Amino acid sequence: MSADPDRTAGADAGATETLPVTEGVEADRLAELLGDLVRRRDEHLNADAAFEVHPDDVQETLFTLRDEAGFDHCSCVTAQEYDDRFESIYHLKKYDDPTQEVSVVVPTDKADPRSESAEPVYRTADWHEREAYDLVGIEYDDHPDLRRILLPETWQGHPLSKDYDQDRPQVVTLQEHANPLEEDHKDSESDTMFLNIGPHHPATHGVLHLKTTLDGEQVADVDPDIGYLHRCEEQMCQQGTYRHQIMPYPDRWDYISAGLLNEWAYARAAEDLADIEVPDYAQVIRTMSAELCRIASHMLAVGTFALDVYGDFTAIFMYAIREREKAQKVLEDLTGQRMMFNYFRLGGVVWDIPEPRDEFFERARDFLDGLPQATQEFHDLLTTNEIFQLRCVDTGILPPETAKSYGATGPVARGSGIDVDLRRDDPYGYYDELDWDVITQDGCDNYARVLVRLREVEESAKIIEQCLDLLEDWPEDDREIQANVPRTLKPDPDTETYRAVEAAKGELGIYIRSDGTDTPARFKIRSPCFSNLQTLSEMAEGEYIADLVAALGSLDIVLGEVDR
Amino acid sequence: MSHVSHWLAIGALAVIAVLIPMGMMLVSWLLRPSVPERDKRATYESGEVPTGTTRIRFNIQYYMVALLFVVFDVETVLIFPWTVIYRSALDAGASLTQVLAPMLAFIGILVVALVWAWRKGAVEWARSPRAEREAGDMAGRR
Amino acid sequence: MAATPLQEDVTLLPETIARTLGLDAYGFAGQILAALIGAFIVGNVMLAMTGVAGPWAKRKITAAFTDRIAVNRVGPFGLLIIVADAVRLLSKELIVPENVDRPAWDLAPLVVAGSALLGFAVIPMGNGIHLADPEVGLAYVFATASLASVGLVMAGYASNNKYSLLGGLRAVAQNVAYEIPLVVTGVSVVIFAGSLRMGEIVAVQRETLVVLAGVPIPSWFAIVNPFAFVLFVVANLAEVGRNPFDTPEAPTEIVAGYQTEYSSVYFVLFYLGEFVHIFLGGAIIATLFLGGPAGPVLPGFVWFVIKIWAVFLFTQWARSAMPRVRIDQLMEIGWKGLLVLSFANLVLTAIIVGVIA
Repeated sequence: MSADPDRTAGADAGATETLPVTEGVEADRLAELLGDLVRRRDEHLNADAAFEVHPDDVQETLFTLRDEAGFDHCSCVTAQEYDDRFESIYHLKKYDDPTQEVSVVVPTDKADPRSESAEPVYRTADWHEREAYDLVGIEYDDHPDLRRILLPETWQGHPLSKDYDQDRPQVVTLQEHANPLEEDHKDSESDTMFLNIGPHHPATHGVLHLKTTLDGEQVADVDPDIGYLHRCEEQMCQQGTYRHQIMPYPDRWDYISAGLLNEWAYARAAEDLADIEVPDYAQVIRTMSAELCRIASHMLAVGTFALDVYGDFTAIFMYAIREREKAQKVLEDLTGQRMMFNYFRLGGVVWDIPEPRDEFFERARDFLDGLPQATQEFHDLLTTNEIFQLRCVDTGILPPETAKSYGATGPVARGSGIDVDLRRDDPYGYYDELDWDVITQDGCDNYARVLVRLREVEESAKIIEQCLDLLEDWPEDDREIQANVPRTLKPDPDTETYRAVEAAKGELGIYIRSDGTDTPARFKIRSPCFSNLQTLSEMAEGEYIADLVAALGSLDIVLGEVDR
Repeated sequence: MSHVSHWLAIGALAVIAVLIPMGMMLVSWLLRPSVPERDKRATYESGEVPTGTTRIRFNIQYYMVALLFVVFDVETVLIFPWTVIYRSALDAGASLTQVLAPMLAFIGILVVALVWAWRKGAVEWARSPRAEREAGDMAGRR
Repeated sequence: MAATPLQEDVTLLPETIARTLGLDAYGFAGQILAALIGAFIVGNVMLAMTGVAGPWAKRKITAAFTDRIAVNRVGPFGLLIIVADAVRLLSKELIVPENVDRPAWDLAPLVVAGSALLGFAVIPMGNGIHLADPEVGLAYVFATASLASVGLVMAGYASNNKYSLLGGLRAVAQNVAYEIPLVVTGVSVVIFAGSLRMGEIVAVQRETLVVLAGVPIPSWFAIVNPFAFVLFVVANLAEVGRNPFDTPEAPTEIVAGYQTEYSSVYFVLFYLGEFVHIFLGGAIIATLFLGGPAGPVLPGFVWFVIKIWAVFLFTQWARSAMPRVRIDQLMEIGWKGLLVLSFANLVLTAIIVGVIA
């Protein structure tokens, strides 16, 4: 590769090249820290600064930012193709303060898109770069294992690149689909056994495929293989208009009753992009309904985890489903849907609390009143059970440093003692006006993660309670459910933003780049499950097969969100 | 009075215990369809094409307990007759020490053996050094 | 306590049949016929109760524990679902996977289903339903009960399936670990009874232990030695592979363990065998610790049925409420916990009996 990426990048970017960075002092300090590494400064709506660096300087830049400026969280890697170049964007944050964001933009040559891998700096970049390679076609030097991740090994072309031929048939015969592992595992003298767990297995929570190598009952190696539920959600969103056509999709990412939390992620990013102010009343409704989704989602997480550890459809699973059902009833009253809500709109929500309002409030309060007893029941049946403790305490260990390196967020991070919650640290909605706590546990094990979820349910109930009070007393002539949003949204060309919300599973972020039309030019989803799932091999290797299953259950992944 | 031998009756039940399942197999054979197909016959491994064989060398984990079992099971066989005669021997006037002491000594030896096995770690599920080494390598690499 | 139990002259079922049908006249052939008829009755009664009513009851019981209703559409209380299920399962196609090791693969379900049924030969069920009562009854019943693990290993190894293999290996490791505590606790009962004969063990328990407020309390061994009873119930749970000791099947880990590759009638036989096995465990517990068919007012057989169903209910309760232990924890509980406790129980029982007698 001989072409200078800087020169190719400069071709279209004349307008932004000398643009002053607005974020001021902090950004300048970082620029000073990086010195010559910075080729150019760009502007992203979310970040303090966006630095463009040479593809060979990626590791040096990231090491500097991580070790000297404290950006220890690589939340996402976005890859995209422009007319004249490829680009990888590393969205960096701090676990201590997620509002401090910096983007590292790595433009690469169109003819031979290569750049240095960030994997040595952030372990999470492993999968993110594999995805970038798979979908966009950028190659990463020094990457330990640059294979396709979402699409089959035999796939031809990179679907999100500009020269991808959508009409090309991708059917591959069984012979060509030869199992690349066959040679390795036919060794009859071997002591280990190669075992596929999933995609069609009772414990993989969907179509996850774990390639495990067992030594007796212990797991010597585990390699998650994902992508069975890949539906090109990003591309579908790129084809929809901002105003209405994208909102139904988020419900289908984390489809297990966390729909509104996902919708909020898109709403937040798009509202940021189009500069829309959401009325307070709508924010309260959003906050309330989102927390109901969180309860429903956590209940299912606890129930299925119990299923994994107990091994049968036991009382706990049914009790969890029962509580989730109650939350869904309330959501159904509000949105008219049980799972695929499509309730949020840019600038607010689609409609107000259903009439008669009192009846709705009463039902919601009934649910909340029953919740303490229900959670107590879980503590009685589950967390205080000695066999359960025997199985969960000190199994599936995820030390905080490892968790950070893998970009773990949500209950998985909080179960490892990392005090991070975007609802508090990067406030949105109505959360900063309400009184609630972020739950953390220091156990770093399966047990801690379950405890976090159970206690978070109680916190969510507190939030809903306060929202209900607010909504009841809200003056009738001030119930504005939607801001005034233009019929067609066309954000300014080349505006870029990455916005995240605290979804049920962790940081759900959306990167949008606009190109002046009414559809996004690039729509990238940062799925919390995708990053959390990467930690599985750290937690499970060397442990028993039963602990592998328990650890997987405690991660609470939804394949719809992992594969998108 | 007729006396049907106990073992004759047990043998009869054995015949019945085989005949009932065989009868069910026969009924099923008459009822069931047969639509052979290659994919259907594939060994189930979560929907993936299985690689490798199951006829591998098993881990030592499974053997350790089996070895111990052989030892202890033979001992329990010896305990059986002792328990049967225990009370009648006492009733017949044997002293407690005479009846109890030998068995206590016997069980004592067993317990010593158990303690030895325990300290050797044989009663625990053997951890696989290989799996731990590989996991350790991985942790070290990072 | 009486020193020697009263040797009751219990008439066994084949003899009753022989006398009633006048088969005595035909000599040995008559005896065989009587034995076969008796065996047929016992086998079918137990099968009807366990294999047929069991799955229905399991559904209903589990549903009650988990706030559901379960089968209620076919027939009263959904009872006819039993028939529907039988027809459905038996008329399924039998899929023989590639590379299975026949005939071991075909024999395994037979062994599992048959061996459990065999154990009922020596169980006194009351009202003269007692097929045989050999001198070594207790040893025999333990032997047949553990025969099933041979079937499980056959199934696991012959299926050529990795989950099955793991399940089979786990099954044998588990059975082996819990066999000894089970047997040792079982023989501690023999110290009281002074016989391995099941009829005699039951007879001994008929004696009155104490009279409380005018109600005679029988000397059931569960009352005489509750410690042994608890040990035995726990070891039995592991022996029949129910929660919290259901590692050989462990659906969330190894799919269905040894029975992963079985379909149609073979699956039915495994399923049936498991149920018969649970009930055989219940029958052993009832005979050794709960006085067999003894009980007031109701006929003996009814009491016997009540007792084994109580044990079944207990296993289903455990299934609905307890997590599964991991295989290494299972081994530790077995070897370090139950084995030691069972030997302690044996020695203490011997000393106490010796001192009292």
